[in-house]
Amino acid sequence: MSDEEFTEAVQRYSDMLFRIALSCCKNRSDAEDIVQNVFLKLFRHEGFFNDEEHMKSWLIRVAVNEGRRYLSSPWHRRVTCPMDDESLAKEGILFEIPEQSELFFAVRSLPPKYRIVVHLYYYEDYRVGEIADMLGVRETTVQTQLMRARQKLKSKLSEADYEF
Amino acid sequence: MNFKQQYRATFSEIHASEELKKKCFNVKNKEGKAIQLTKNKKKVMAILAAAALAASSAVAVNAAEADSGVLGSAWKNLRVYINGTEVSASDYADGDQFKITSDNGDIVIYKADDLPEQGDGEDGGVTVSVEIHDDETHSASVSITEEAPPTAAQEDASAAKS
Repeated sequence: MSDEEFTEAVQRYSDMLFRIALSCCKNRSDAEDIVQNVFLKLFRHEGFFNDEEHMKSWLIRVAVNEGRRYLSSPWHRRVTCPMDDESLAKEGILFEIPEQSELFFAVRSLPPKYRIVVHLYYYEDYRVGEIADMLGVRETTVQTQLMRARQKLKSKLSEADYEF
Repeated sequence: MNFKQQYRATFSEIHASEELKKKCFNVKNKEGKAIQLTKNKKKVMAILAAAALAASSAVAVNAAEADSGVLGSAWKNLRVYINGTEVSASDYADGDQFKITSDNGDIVIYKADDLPEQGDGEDGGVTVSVEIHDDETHSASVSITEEAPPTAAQEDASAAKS
């Protein structure tokens, strides 16, 4: 990968990877570490990407794997980091619209494996089959996780009356 | 209200910082070789705290609620004290090794270079070494290198068995 291609990839995918990383972990700093690791792996990657979409799905897969490793690390389990309005504000994440804040915290309350699926489905616009390929799970697993995530979100966002 | 639209509007507000992008741009040295990115100093503190917790069987330290030793309700707020003086995360660097011992209820953190002579000042307490590896995964490990002395409860249980 040339310097130009790498720079372009960082510019284009930093936000996407950061949002995915934030789905996996508890705070901004850890998400940033995950993003750095992903780009380090991209830099060291010696294979070829068929097209832009191939690279994008590769980056997502690496980010999810990095996130899984983060979640399984022993020291991460020892330390708690509540994500409330105050701590988010300190990390530069602020929502001026109450509905957005409510939705963000409702999603944050989901188990990480649900958050990742929800994000890839609703934000990155991937189909269930594509998500299953990226995560290395069966389509039915993704469907189940999406269904359960929606149920949990409905119970938390009942007043907003969302259409899923 | 459409959930997808609201979800996209919400998460569109979240961006990677320019500082992070700058770090990611610079993953290679002048020779074009991949280099270790700057590890988050806060994470170093968290690793130290985790080690302190691992060593804390005989010490009342809880990362979530501690008011002595290692402080903070979240790792980003953790503080580390050496002999009662707070030290900055910037005092540590990737590759440093630390030794953490419990000493009369205080968590004492030694940087590798400042370790006391063997046997000096270590009176059979819990000893934990922390290695912060400088490899491609930025992994860190916390391992207890010497067995902690048995607690009173363990000694009682052992005595009861015998």
